[in-house]
Amino acid sequence: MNIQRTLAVAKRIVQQFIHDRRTLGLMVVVPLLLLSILGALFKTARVFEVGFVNQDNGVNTPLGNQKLSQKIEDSLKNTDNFVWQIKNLNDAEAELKENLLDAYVLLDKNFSSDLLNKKTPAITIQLEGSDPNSSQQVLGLINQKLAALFESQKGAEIKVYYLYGGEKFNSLDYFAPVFIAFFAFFFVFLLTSVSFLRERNQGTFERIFASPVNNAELVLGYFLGFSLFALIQSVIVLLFTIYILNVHFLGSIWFVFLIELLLVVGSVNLGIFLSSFAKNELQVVQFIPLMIVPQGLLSGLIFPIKSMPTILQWLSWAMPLTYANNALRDIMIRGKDLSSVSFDIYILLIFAIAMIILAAISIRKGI
Amino acid sequence: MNDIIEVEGLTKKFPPDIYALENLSLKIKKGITFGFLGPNGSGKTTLIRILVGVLKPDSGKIRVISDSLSWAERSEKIGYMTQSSALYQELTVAENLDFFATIYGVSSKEKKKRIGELLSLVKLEGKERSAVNTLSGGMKQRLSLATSLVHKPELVFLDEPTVGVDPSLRVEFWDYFKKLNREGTSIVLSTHVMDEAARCSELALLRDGKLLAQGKIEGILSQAKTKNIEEAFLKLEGGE
Ligand SMILES: Nc1ncnc2c1ncn2[C@@H]1O[C@H](COP(=O)(O)OP(=O)(O)O)[C@@H](O)[C@H]1O
Ligand SMILES: [Mg+2]
Repeated sequence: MNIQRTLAVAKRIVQQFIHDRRTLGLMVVVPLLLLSILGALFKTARVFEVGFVNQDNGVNTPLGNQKLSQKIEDSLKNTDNFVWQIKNLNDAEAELKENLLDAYVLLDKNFSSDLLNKKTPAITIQLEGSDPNSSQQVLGLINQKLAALFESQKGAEIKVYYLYGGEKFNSLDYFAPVFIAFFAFFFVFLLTSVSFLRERNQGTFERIFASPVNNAELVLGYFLGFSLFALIQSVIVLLFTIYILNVHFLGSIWFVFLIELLLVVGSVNLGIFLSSFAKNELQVVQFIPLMIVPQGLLSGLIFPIKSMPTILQWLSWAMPLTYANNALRDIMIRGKDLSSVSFDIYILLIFAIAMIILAAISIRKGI
Repeated sequence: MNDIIEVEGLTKKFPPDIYALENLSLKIKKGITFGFLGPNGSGKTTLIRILVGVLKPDSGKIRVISDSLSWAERSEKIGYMTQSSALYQELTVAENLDFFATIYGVSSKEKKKRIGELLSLVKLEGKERSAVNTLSGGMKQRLSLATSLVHKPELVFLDEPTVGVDPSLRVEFWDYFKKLNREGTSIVLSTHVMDEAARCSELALLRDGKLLAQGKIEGILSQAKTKNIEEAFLKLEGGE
């Protein structure tokens, strides 16, 4: 391994970028644009009309009759996106049909006693359901509240608090950290593939392979060159999300870079590997729907993995971005420490190593 | 050891069954300009690619410079100009030269001087800051030559170096090759232009991957009993 040659390769990548200002601009502007759009979308989240039908008979205790369902009501009532209306069952059903309500929540008469006897209490959520999208959102919001409630349940005592996030947290906070990693992964993959393809097509690979530069120096040089730009991109995007979009981060910013570095190693090598299957730049672009879009859809970036069909969940767990997203959310939103995401980091390491091996095998293909 | 290159029984087959080189043996002396002469598809490029090490032969023995050198040590002593110019299109002329100088281990002190010399040799002074993709074909060809010589290699492979170079510059190129020979540099080049063959110190005539003849041009002519190289080609080919 010769440092000078490695740095020469990295410098070459940097020079290429400096001459290609448009790509450089795109790398920064596209993430900012998309995050701004996301931000605007989440800030104007819909408000739902939700009915609450409480048939709970309560339980008799030495202190008199107690309704544990009251806690549920209090918690759901405080959801920003809900207009909360207490109803009886008939009214609720009628109004749902009229589309005056988007959903109602029904607690049956045994709710308190079930809960006390450690049986799973029945909570019925009736959705209006004609717009799957709003149904999902209502369900998601209710589930989120209930999950928080039941996770903290101890005996009959139900405490209501925010497990993660808080009043000030909004959906953008949930998305920002993972999008930063996604952008780095995507751009580095795309640019490495195109650069490698150009090396093949313009014959410079032939020159490199006849030169003292070996595979390790070439790949490391590429990695260093692209990492620099991934880093610049991330710093700008991070600053933008923190100061302009007012995103809240609990964990250390450095952690974003650590995860990103692992992803970029994988990404550079994936690009090298796949570029050996492409004959021109259009064919490289064809890898985007194959490699990038599924990861965008299935890695939990936008849609929660838990609510996916089983087969898609399997696919999710086969994608490196899933683990990056997990780790990033655990640290940046849930404020966990590095050791609690070591599994995700190992998986990312394995991914990076696997890609290095594939790249090493394919690098001289067609030469 | 007076030969810088030794090849014995070299065979290279491309799928399905194109024999680009077939049982080829030759020796190339140090410090001369040796020419591979042959029509398109005769195997010149394949032979050069094997000698510089980017392509693995199917069988045969080759020695380039010395067997005791590591890959990096040997390749630092070799210059390689590919058939079509292999340059970073977005980078400038100076950046391309700088890149190749660095990966071949030219010290930063020497680099500037060396790049200046080569720019004047290939008549690209003033073009240092131009991006390669703004240059004409001939300019690219000249820059390509310059990048292959930037580290003062002791052995240079030039694959059809004078294609697309205008006649007066072509003469200058040949003068420069002779100068390099005098300084001890060995040059191996390929050409399909018969009249350039006369400028080479020694020749190998290639046809369909087979070696028809090799040696000094006079020797080849007397062997074929002809006066010019075209006829020699036809005779030797027919005689096989
Ligand atoms: N990478 C390759 N794959 C398949 N066939 C090849 C390859 N390179 C060269 N050939 C074939 O080998 C023969 C010799 O080619 P080449 O060495 O390029 O000849 P020249 O340089 O003398 O024109 C030709 O028939 C060519 O089609
Ligand atoms: Mg050729």
